[in-house]
Amino acid sequence: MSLLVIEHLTRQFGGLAAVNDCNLTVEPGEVHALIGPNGAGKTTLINLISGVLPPTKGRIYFDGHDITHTPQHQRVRLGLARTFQITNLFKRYTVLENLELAVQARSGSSFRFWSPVKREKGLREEAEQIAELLGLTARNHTEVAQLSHGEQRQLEVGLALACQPKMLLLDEPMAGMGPEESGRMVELIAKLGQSVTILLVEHDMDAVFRLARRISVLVYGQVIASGPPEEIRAHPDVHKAYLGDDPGGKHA
Amino acid sequence: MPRNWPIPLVLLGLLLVFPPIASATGLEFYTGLVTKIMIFALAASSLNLILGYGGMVSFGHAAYFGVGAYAAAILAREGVSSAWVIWPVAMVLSGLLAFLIGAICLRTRGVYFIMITLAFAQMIYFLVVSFKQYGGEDGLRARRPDFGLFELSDTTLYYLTLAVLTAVLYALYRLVNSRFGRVLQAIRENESRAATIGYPVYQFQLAAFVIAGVLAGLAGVLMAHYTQYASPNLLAWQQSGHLMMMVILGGVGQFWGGVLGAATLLIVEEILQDLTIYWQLGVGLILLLIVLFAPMGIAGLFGRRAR
Amino acid sequence: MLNGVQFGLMLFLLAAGLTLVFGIMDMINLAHGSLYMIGAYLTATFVGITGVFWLGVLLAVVGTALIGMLLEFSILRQLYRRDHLSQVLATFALILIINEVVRIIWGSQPLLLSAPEGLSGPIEILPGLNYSAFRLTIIGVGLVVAMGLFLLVNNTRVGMWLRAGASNREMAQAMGVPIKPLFTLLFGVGAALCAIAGAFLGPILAVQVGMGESILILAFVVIVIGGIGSVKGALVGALLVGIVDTAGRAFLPLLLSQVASPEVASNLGPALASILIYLLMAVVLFFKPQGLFPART
Repeated sequence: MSLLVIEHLTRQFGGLAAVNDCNLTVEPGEVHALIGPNGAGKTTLINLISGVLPPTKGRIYFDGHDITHTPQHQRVRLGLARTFQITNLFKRYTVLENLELAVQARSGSSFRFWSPVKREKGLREEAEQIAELLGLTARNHTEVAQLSHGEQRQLEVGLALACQPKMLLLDEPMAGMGPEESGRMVELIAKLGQSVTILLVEHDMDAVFRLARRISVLVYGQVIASGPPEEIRAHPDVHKAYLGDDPGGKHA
Repeated sequence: MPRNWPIPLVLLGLLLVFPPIASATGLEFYTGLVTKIMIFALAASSLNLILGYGGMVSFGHAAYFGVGAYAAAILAREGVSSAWVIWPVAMVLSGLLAFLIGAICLRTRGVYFIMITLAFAQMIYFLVVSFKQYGGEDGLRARRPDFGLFELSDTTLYYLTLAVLTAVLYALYRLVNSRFGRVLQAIRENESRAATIGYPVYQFQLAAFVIAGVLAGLAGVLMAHYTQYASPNLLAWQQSGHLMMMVILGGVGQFWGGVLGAATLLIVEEILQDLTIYWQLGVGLILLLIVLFAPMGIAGLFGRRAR
Repeated sequence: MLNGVQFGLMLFLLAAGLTLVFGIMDMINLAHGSLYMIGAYLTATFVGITGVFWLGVLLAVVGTALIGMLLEFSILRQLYRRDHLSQVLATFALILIINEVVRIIWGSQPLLLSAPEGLSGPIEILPGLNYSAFRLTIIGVGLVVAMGLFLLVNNTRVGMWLRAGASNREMAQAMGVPIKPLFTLLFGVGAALCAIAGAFLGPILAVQVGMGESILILAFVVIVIGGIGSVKGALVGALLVGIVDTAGRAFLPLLLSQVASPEVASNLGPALASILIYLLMAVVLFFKPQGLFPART
């Protein structure tokens, strides 16, 4: 059974359909890359899947549930977590505080009004483990605003990870990174890909072809091709729409 | 324990011995003033919970304050004399009102939220004022209720208010440091991210909104006992502005902001009223200077950063 | 009905300035109502000095515009970059200050401002239907000013800047729109509109301290219903609020007495009428959280 199924999904802004009758399936365990030119509707699609925006038409199924109209926070409970293209963290909080918040969200009710949250050792320990996985332990007590761009991007992924998702939606995790930082991020995603399904939106073709087991190409809000990397590389429509005319792509 | 824990304890001690000292030195008037300050400290602290910790700029907090006072006065008028009935009913009513208003207002954001909370408060104001049998624009006299255990004199009211304020502040202190309080502040910091990691933002905000409404209603009840009167002024939009002023003055999102702000503003008003009939001019100028030059309020001046 | 239109048009004058300030500068200005009050007081004063109504109004409009620009230049300019809470409080403080200053200058008794002679009587607008000539004048003035404002916003360079600023401030600034003088000018225009409303509502309502606040809240209701930043929305919202409010006060008690006992009707009628516009606003916001004509997309 596919983990994520998108059927005839459409989202209109005024007269413009940013996502237009889009179909997509993601299988459990795979790292699935979503590529496409600027303005193809990739971020809109992520917003629809994560529940930030309601779709105009179509359906979304996740892990056997119809989540088309499920509120955002319940999708997270079902195991669907996302990151943002533009870093979106609790800026005035430290790394650990950010992670603790995310851990707290899925471990027990947060409608507890009396006991001091700082005494909850479990939250702290889990947050520390995630920080270690991210390689941010040295920065545990640093305010997010003081982190480097690359570290912030890693924490961005860390927050989604702390939700213990079945599937991660990564919206351009390497946006604005230098080569060294990107390398570290690719390693991190590859490591995560061993245990969790990933839908990855990315412009960096090196990274995409290194990480993805399958690639879908989004153009004008529609998936025009979907398949293993070699197939996509050779796909004539993809060349025309996206990769340009250089056969084999620019990274061949 | 908060870092500066001895200060509140010393303050509490001073407040405990204040009435006998005041009456021994012929300054009974100030017992009343301090009672009033404590009542407003309670109301302002409740506003600080949603405004400061929750980031919800509610411009209609007077509604819950006033409804608490009116509930107490109307029940007394209708022959209910037991405080054990009046208090819970008034608190439930203001909480219910906060739930209804909050449920609608929290669908909006930013400027729209400010304006729609104001509009609802105005609605309540006009509704209450239009009931002629409950005094209309003249307000409603309210006998002090019966507690059974003790007579509610000026002095016992003082101690009652002190007890309520102490208990509420302690509860609020627990609350802002609890799981709930942490989420509430996280939503203020970054609402979209809070939703993305799985928090039902609306529910948290609404819960805080209702808690603040109940506490403001409680302050309103005490106000009705204090003046033995429910005035439409308690519901007016200027009252909402007044409470916001206290919070800003004391420090938005600083734990002691509501208390400090209420004390400072009421004392300054008292002094200015003695000096000139144009005292609001002074209040306005001070407020303007605070907003322009000390946006963190008095608590902020002591250098502790808001989180 | 005509009273509703007349009141609505005056509300529009207030709301137009407010919505532009709101939409373009993203600034809540509670002191807008104070400018309206100043306008009314200045009109009363200048009419008293010159003895000529129209000259008095003209002087008051110019005077209020100058005061508005002075306020923008000295204080409000500091607040554009601040959050809404600071703006609310700072301008709330301004209300207190201006109220007291007005009280110091003019005293706390309401001033008398009477409609110009010649307009004080009723005239026959339709056979058998008399209407106050002054109120009719107000409608005329309101329509002319509203039309002028639309021409200004839609057909002039300044208007284009304003619209550009309302939809995207940074972009407008980057394209060389002189934002700072534009804002000061805009404030002057907003203040002048307030003064016109104050001058013409003064003879109908009372000229007194506090007159600005009650109408300010109505103006806010108007722009929230209409959509912040939209002049068209302000017009529609103002007329809607004016008509609903006037009609509600006139007909609701009657209507209720049809279905309920007279005692209930006489009690509930005015209550419902006075909250009708707030209900209207709540309903509009419930279905369209951005108002009827959102200026920004």
